[in-house]
Amino acid sequence: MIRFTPLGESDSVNQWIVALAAITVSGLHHRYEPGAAPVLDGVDLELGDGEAHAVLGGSGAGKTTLLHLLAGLLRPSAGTIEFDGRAVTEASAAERHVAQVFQFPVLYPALDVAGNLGFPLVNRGWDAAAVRRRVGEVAELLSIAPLLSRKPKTLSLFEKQLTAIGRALVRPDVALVLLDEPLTAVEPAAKWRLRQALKAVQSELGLTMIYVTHDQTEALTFAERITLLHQGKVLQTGPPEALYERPAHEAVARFIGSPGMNLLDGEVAAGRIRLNAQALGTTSAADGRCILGFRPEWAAIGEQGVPVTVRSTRPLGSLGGVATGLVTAKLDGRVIHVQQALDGLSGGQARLRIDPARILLYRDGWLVDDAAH
Amino acid sequence: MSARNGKAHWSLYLYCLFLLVPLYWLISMAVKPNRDILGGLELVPSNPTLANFVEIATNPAWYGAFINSLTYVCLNAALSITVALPAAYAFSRYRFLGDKQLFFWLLTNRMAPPAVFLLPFFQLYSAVGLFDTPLAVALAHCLFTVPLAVWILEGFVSAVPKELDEMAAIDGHSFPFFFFRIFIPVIRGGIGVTLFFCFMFSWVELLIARTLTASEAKPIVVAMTRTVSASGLDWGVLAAAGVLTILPGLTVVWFVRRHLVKGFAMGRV
Repeated sequence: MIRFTPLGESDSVNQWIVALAAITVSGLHHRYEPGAAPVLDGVDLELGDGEAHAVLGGSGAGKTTLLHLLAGLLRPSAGTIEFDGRAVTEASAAERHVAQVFQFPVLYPALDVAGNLGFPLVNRGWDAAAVRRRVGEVAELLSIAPLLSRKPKTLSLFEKQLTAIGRALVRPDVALVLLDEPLTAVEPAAKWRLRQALKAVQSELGLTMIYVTHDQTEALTFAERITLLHQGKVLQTGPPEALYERPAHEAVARFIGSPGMNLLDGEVAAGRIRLNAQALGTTSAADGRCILGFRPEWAAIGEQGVPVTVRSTRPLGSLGGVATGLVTAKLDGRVIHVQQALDGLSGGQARLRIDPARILLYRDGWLVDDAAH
Repeated sequence: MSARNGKAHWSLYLYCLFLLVPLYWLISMAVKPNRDILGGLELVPSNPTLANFVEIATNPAWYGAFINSLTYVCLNAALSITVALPAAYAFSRYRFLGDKQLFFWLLTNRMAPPAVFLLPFFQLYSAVGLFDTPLAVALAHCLFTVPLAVWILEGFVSAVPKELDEMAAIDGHSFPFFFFRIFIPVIRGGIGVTLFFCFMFSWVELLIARTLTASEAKPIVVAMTRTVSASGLDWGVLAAAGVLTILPGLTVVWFVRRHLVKGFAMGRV
């Protein structure tokens, strides 16, 4: 059940403050019913003002619940939310100055685009001229000025979503914009344009934006920093490169990258990383079993290394005149992917060599921190 | 393809004609004097007259009955929507213990024949002094129209994305503001369709309306069954009353015709 603003509290907020929104979320827990499994299980997040942040996760990771908690639609079971050092955990949506763009554009069918954009302002008691001016500004920003007099049902999905974004930006007091998979409904060709429009608006207005998605491409191209949410827990927060280069958890390693990271059973013995009884490199990690992780482009199939069976190759194009592609191979029954030059590679038996400096070790799911190798 | 379309059209025209014959007969009777009606078969009225309609417009027993009917029908429609709209919203949006069972139980009310409730209604309304008032009939009809209205409206409410509620809440609106200023305008088509069905039920229902009224609140359907006078049945006036009875329904259908199709498509109507 969502939480509305109590009657008479602030339907007429009319302030021109551009609030700063550095956001601190600590120890956020949420369960929908007492006794049910928690949807969010101790989430910590730290967002700078004006940051474009993406929350990435599969379905059921708790992404939408996190947005509802940030917007004030739900009250968390435990934990605190602070906007600029001010606790807003108990505050209603109206007091938080948050706007949201939904997966499917929500517009009032009876109003035209201008009416939809101006609706939040009209209800805050703005006079008609000011509303028109502000709606004009926002329409200009998103280049939807020619659509202003059209009804939603005559718009394409792309135009509808642009209008919905405009609607989120129209209140000048909005400091945090939440985007819940806003590109899902849009056709692939328009996705790129919409993402560019969003990115441009974000940097121009200096708005803090939280972009929730299950699509890593969207997250990696939109955000300065990404939080990866998995089963209600934050696995890693950091810039896109960090999530790609040094995934903090096996789930992150699998989720980011296409195909994801190769993860193989191996072990550490006497400071050496071993795979199938072959030593690959040195490490400072303690001895014992562990998972070895490496990206497809950190390895090569050739004449040296661990024996593998090449199953298929898929050309990806050519780089500097050399045809490169994705090689699918099998190692002890496990499928691995390697990205490399395809010259001289044929099916059948071959050997895999992994760049020893880049192998990542995982134990109990988590990255083993070993600065040594 | 066009040949098939042509054939389909012709069968539609024939069906239409078939439906319209009784209606035409009613209208032509309404503009004939009694003598011509009983005289013999004539397709086009030879002595057209409006005397039958004038009789209805000037005789309080007739126009009073129309007013009674309209009063309880409007009362019923207003009551049904007022009760059913919040109920439909709750069934659609909230999960609570036994919600599905309760929703189905509403429908089971429609499974009992109205006659079952006649005696308790008669006794109850006599006891509380509601007997022979339009309110009595309106309330009794609510027993049947409220479940119907909840059922129809729930379909329309569920067709509105939940995000509309969330957006309103994030925009900082209170629930009453959202419900009356945002939500009701969005589902006004569904409300129209529901009003239509409440209206249709209440307008043509005879059994309860006759039992719960005597003289003061006598509705038109009852008045039409009691037109036997010393000179026999007044066929022309009866036909004119019939024509007038069709008109309100026709008007309502005209207003909701587009939404009606949507309601049928939703499978709730």
